[in-house]
Amino acid sequence: MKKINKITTILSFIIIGFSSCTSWTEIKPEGLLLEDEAVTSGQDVVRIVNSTYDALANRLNGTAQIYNDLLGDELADFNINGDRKEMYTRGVIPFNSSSGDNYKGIYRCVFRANTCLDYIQKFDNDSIFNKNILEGEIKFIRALSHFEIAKLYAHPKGSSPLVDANAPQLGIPIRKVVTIDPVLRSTINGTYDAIASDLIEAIALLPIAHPLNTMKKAHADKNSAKALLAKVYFQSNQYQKAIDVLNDLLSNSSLQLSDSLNHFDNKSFNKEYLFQFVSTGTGDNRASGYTGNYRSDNVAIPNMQISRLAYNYMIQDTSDKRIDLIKVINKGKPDEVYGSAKFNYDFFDVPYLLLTDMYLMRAEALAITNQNLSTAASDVNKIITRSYRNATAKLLSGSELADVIKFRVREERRREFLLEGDRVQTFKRIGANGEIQTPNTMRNAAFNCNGLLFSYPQTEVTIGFSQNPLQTCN
Amino acid sequence: MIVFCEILQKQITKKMKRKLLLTLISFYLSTQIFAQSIKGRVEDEKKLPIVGATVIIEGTKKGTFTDDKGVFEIKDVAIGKYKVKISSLGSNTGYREIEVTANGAFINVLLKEDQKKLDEVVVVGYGVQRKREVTGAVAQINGKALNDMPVPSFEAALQGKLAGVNVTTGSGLAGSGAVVRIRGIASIGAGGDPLYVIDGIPITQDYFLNGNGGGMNNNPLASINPNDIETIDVLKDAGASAIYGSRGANGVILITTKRGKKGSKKTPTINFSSTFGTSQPTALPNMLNTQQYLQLRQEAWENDGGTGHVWIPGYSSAQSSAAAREAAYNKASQNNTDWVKLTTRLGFKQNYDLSISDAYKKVNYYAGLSYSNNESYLVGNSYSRLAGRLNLDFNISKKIKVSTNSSLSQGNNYRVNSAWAGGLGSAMSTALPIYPTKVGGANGDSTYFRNGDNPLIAQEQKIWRVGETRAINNIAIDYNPIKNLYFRGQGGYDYMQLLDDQFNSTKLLNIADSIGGNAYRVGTYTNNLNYFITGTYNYNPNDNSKFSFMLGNEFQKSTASVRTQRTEKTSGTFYEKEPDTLYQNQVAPGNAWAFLSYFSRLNYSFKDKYFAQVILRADWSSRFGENNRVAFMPAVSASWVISEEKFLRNNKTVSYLKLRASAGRSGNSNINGNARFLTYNTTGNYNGQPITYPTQAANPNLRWETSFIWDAGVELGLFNDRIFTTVDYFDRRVSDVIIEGLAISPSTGMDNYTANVGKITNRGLEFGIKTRNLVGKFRWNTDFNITKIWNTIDDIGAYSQDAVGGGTNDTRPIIGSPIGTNYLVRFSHIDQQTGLPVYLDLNGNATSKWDIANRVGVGSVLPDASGGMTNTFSYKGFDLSILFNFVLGGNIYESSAKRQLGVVSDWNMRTDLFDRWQKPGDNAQYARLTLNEANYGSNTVWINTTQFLHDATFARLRNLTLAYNLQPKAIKKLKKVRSVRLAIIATNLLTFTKYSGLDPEIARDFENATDRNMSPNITYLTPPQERTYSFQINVGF
Repeated sequence: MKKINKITTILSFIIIGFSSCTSWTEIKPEGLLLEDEAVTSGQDVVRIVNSTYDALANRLNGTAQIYNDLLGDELADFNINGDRKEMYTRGVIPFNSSSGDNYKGIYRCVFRANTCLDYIQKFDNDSIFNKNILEGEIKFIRALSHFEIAKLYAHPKGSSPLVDANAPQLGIPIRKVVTIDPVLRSTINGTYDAIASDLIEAIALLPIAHPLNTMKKAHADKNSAKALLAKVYFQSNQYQKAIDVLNDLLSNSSLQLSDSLNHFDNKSFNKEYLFQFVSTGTGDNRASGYTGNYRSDNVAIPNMQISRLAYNYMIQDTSDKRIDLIKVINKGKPDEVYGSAKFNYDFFDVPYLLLTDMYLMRAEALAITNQNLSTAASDVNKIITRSYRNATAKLLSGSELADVIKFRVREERRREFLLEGDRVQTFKRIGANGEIQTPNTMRNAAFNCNGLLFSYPQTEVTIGFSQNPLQTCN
Repeated sequence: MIVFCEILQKQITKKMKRKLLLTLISFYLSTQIFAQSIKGRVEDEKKLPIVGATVIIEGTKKGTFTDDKGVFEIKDVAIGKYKVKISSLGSNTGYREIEVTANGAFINVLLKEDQKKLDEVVVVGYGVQRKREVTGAVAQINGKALNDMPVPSFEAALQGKLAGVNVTTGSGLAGSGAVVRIRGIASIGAGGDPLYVIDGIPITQDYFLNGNGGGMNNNPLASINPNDIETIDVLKDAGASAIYGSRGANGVILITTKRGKKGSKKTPTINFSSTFGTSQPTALPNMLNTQQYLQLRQEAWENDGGTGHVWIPGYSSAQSSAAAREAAYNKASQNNTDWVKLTTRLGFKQNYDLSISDAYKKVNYYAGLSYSNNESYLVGNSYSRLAGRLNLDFNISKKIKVSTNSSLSQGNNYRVNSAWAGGLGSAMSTALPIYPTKVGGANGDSTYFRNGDNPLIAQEQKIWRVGETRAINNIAIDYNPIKNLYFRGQGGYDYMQLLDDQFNSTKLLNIADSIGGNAYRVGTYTNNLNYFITGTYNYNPNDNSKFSFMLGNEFQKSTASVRTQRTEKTSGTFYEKEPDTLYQNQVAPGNAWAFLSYFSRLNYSFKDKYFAQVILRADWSSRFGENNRVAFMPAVSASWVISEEKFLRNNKTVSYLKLRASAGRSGNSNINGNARFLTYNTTGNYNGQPITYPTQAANPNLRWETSFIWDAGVELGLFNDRIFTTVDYFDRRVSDVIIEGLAISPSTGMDNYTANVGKITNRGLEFGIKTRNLVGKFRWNTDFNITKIWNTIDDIGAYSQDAVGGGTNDTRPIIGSPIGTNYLVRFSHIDQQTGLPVYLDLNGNATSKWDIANRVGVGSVLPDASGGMTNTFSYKGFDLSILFNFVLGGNIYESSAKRQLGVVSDWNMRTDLFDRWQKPGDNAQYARLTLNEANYGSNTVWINTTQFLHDATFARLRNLTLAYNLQPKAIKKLKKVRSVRLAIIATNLLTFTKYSGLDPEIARDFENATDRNMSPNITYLTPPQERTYSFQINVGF
């Protein structure tokens, strides 16, 4: 009997000891897509590339542009509270969640782009997709993302010393591989070189016409990459390089300016777009940042308004038809305010690269470098002709001095890109180039005030990471 | 005549004498019959008097208590034979057959120590142990103690009652959860809550299943009916918790529900209780009225150099013309809305509980049904719960027993906007007194005011209900095939369905009624399956040595999914009106995980006074990365009951003395089950094209947090346990501390990443004492406990302190400092000449600039010590229980005060600002008013400084219960009634604190586990605790 008991006992424990299998813990969470299911073919890589456009469209839907403009002088202070007030008062602290979301949202595109690069190699032999086009798009997106971060988080590259002359001027973290490890800031030269390098490669890889683009430039093509490279060179005060790229772009493309005074007028095809973020309907409005803040046709008072300074500047020349894009509310009353009519659509595409900008960049770059001034004047005149509706008296003759052209082209730039996030970046660029501007401050801020930079999110500031110093300038 | 008279006199005298004699005899006899008394002395085995022992003559109502010499006397006992019952706490009950003669009776009673007391069992995980042989730190509380006071959720009732168990009660929101910490906190990114196990099932206890909307997190414990709980056992050290392996390090709370018991009568035991009460806030915010608001705002404007009227939020801006500003000012002056009053009320509470239980030879049963509806003091906020339970035991044979536990509950939490989300939170911030509730029309009340925050709109136009259906069921089989061999197999299923329903009316959305409102339903469905099998073999080689070996295997799998549905053009919630069309119907992954475990426990006892235990557990889990699939958790512990040794056995002072010590490893793997995966999403499209995108990077090295814990404890009973103390020292060293999500550099572009990077040390001392101060008819017992914690973060890897945010940017993991360290710029004083704030830089020098580079660690939100004291008085049928809980040290950071007492902005402010600087020389608490944060040396109005850091020390009269138990004489008149208890209960009656804010006890809505670990005691518009007054009746049949 004792023997039976022993056997019973031992057997029982053996059964308990081996009654389960460790593979039971290999559970796949319900509804969660893992890598081996998500990325099985080249087509899936294409989907990831699509997602990079998607993520960028969600940041450059007016939101990132407004953040730039909050630093400038084109916005009234009405309804500017919370995080946006920190931007407006040039004091974005590291805990500002709006700037933090923007930062992370744009780097999300970099992450996705870098993820794609790994998979392109993996599906090298997949005939479904064109490896070169995808790689070109990825590098275009990565460059664009880094560029947008650099505009808000670093002073422009330029000849004028901005910080301690003995220390290298810092740019932003450049991420070209997927890693969880912190990455420190590159120098400003390293930053712009990395961005340009991506775009040069993209130009080589991308076709003249992207096969998925029919009318709209939803996917980057060769001209998109050239246009962005020109913009990057221009913003970093590398004017000769910008001219070279623009000459190539403008001479070899069949682009035409739009007749519309409004860059956002794209219900029908807008022929001057070189790259755009596409909205397909009210439920897919990639311009919600603009419409939600500026729309002036379905509200008594727009949430965000044009500053009196900007309004006064615009109405200095009443023959400029672009004034029609400004809506004066409560005209003549104590509470007169100014809204924009640029964004009064239920949905629309957001142009990121457009021909107007290319002409104005080349004109200014030529004037700055004092070369080929007739081309410069011609470029500016294309914009003047449209804006003043063929008022020939407004045109440049072609024999003006470089400074005259430079002044005029900058005037046109300011009028063209009102509320499009351009103003403060132009101010910083020119200042970094060592030029004295009139006035030499913007809403009391010098071009190199650290208040014109956003603080990096504090979670970015790991050991060795150099934070932008806080400095208010109002 | 004289003769006649003499004869008559003789006759009368004779008659009278006879009568008198009879009377005297009768009187004598009667005094002889009832004049006796029973006297005696009651003593223990050590010949020590037993004080307060009850001595009752069976079958009568005569009885008494022993005095401090152990002596008793029951007077007026008639001559006869009686059976006397002698009982005392901690001793066996004794009976004596005595005969009372004319001389009375005298008995000496020896009551032996109640071995049952030492043989009382505690639940230790996968089994029970006698208290005597427990080698780990285990505390037990009876379920009855949980029902003595109305609380939002049962765990809150643990507050102040157990050493080492710190409970921060949730805010006054109905159904809100408490933060329970057993012996402190030693996690950052992983959950710091103990493991809750109900009848053997580790239950679903995710506080973030439903985010943190409306000022609170969902409380998964709220649906559990406290009336169903028999006991709660708390496993505190490795010697106890290691049996739960990689999930035991935060301590384990084992909940045992009631089972069928044989009642004192032949009929089933039936209990009915009902409670009615009220809820009101412990404090209300002192916000400015319109006159005060405009006055202070105007002062700020003029301080800043402004002329004319100040601009008014929602009506004008700083750039508005003077005329426009004046018009806006005058318009604002016309309103004076008390938003606090509009968003609060007197809430009513009601609770009904009915249970029946009985035990037979073959079947035992317990059935309970309860309904409660608890309104909080916030308008529209309530939590109702209907819960039922049926626990059965079937004694199939002498060798087989089958038990089932079934519970089903439905909780409906009617939520309201709160804290940062609105409601009372708005009243404390952006709902300005100058704003009216309604405007327009002939009476100015046709439409809601919308030019500024108006919490009334959501209060009246939003329906928000979170319905929770919870079923926790299990079945267990106990089998005893041969002598000393026992098996238990148990399978359990915990299902939780959470339906978060919201309806936004057209008036809330401010759209035409013809368009219709919209409704959302977020359904979270959690299935939690569990089984375990244990085999236990007891081997007693001789009378002195006893071995018990247990081997077990457990598997648990939990899957969850979240379905989000949205409809438009509707007039009600999903539960009121089934939608015709879904505009969104999307399933997102929930937190899924599985654990497979093998465990064993070896116990050895020698002479019933030396005890040793070895535990080993191995856990495989889906939560762990592929490079770390299995966690091994060993622990050893031992105890020595010294009072059983010869040299102490008859000691007249020391009645019980036990030493115990344990050391071992335990783990914490309370992390999201999906954290280790590289994950993708395909939601959305771009330009009509499908998209796929990665969301988080894989971490194949992800693993549990490992705690090495050692503990040494002493249990000491004095004077026959009239004084009983427990002292424990514990030391917990945690490695592989998990840091989650927030820590990752945002430039990685990844949304989440979880990694093991840190080290933490958590040490502490806990002390508990129970005394029976007065015994006899008037009894007074005291129960006191206090726990002191030393906590230090030793390492956070390569991350800087700012890589881990603790909620509202106020707490940070600082190496060398405790978890929850406030990391703030130091406020120095208000400059008496300028009226502006002065801060301190890193070197302690005064500066007018508020710079985050000057932040330093300035103490922690963790208390230095905490505890509680309960005094219980009883006299005849009355009992009075008074519970104080207290917190010593630690910080409160009043995060919203920086807006209420800082730069004048679009927030309403507090009357505290009456003590502000107004002219040079003023020695004021608050600075010169300004509308410009630059005047305070800052770029932002969110100026976190130590100015709003307060000492968290408080003591609170947490609970006061005065009850009357109907006496047997009265009970007898109520047929079939066994007991009646009436009670008046008050909670949070008094609070003693220097804190100037609303309430010093703060458990707000947390963003995630990191926030919950690091930022309790950070208040951000957090509703205060509630004060309740209740009446309770409890009837037993």
